[in-house]
Amino acid sequence: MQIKLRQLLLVIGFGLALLHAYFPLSTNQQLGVLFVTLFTLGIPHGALDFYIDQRINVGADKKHGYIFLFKYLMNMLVYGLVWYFLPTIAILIFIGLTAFHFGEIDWLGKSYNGIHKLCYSILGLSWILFLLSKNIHTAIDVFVLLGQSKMQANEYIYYANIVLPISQATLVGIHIILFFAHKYFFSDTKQLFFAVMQIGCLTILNMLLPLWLCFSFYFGLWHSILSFDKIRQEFEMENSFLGWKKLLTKAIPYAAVAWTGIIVFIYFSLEAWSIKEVMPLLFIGIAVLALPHLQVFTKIKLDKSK
Amino acid sequence: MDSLFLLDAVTVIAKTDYVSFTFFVGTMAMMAASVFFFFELSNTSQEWRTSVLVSGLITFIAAVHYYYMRSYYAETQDSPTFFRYVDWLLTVPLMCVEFYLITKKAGGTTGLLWKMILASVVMLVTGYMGEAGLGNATVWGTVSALAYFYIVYEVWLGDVKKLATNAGSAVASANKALGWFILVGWAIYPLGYLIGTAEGQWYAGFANIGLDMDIVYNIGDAVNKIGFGLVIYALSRKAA
Repeated sequence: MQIKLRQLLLVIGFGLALLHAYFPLSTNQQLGVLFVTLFTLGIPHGALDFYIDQRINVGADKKHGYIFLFKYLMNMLVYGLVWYFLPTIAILIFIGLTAFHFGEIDWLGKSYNGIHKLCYSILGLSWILFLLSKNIHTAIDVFVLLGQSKMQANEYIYYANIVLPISQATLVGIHIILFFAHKYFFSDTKQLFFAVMQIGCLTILNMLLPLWLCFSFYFGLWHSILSFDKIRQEFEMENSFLGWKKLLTKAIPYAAVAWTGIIVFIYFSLEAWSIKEVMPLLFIGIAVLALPHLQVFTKIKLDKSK
Repeated sequence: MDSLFLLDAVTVIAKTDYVSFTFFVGTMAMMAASVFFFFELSNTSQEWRTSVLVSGLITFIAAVHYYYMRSYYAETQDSPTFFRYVDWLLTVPLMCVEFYLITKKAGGTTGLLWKMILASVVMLVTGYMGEAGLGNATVWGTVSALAYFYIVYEVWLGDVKKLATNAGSAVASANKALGWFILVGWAIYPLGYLIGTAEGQWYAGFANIGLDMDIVYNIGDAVNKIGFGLVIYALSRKAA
């Protein structure tokens, strides 16, 4: 259940909120925190994909590895092309993917069937929409550039004002359902208790932190460290300094490739050096990496179900 | 006749002033319930006397506060938020004491009692901070809601539920009834909170649903405090 780790991460989140309350960080400083967390944890957590595949397919020949890499790169290429030609569709795909992936990492209940998966996907979707719509005034520049200005800024604000209460009401509504149907969704009532406390704390952090800090916390720390820990548990690595070091060391080579890829992509796509230009490109870079990562990460569960 | 003259010559309640009306009815209902519980004490077995006494205290404290709130509202036409929270700060922990009293026989500990009291205090203090405008209403409301959920969890699925089940069928069914009061009856309060703090928030739409926050709270209080006491009273009769 990773309860202690989740509690520790929430304490760090509240520490960040406290820090920001007493020593407010400027937008550039917030972006600095975001870049540091993304490059040290956010991107490396996806860099274990090749390792995951190797561990799941122990004994597979080299050919399997090449096929895996080919499929992985093709996924990225196809999704990259969708970003280039159909950015609005790409955004929607990305929100759908992150809904499922964030949902499965945050979920503390059973994961046996489609209803469980649908439930945590809706929770993930509500959460990501809550995060974005609450911070729409900051996110708007990125959105306008990502969607190649097909929608105007005021339209984004209009939709965000509708989405915000719906996302919050959905989070509350789903948890009411989880309460009444706790036996179906949880194997222990304590899981339900922590699930509610967790979403409550994340909601408070979303209200207290500005977008970039909240994203740094949620994606850079919370999601990445919990994902790392799931991989560590799955492959029975020690929960110690050495165990974590081993895990992170395995991530470094592929993380370096990913960093390089993103930097090169940003460098060649950049028309003028400004943070407003870099952010959407960084976002696209991460999104393109996210699609194959999600496919690989889900295999851990598939393997587990066997 | 444009208005009703109630209780004293000074307070005049307009026919359409539903807030004042519910304050008045609330005062009378709480007073009547207190008299009932106190008078019934002599007919209650020793074992359940403290529980019924606490029920009477809850409605009595509420009656006194309602009397003041009625006057305050009549004079200022302003919501008596402070008085209301003082009332809740005294009565809600007492409701938590009731859970301890009914589960004591089955091993209810003072540790559990204090946890419940602490949760109720957190729920109320943070609720007050949000309603009094001492910070972000959504943040305080969420903290308050989490403390509320802790109480719901304990009563429905946690230690209180386990102890009540061990204490026998009468206590278990009373605990279930009280659990419904907490789950559904107390859920009226977040609605009042959303209405009362809606201005400038993402849930601003709640300000336009045509319900006054005080009416919501007054109805909630009458149902919950008196109902809660009656469940305890019924348990004392059933168990005896």
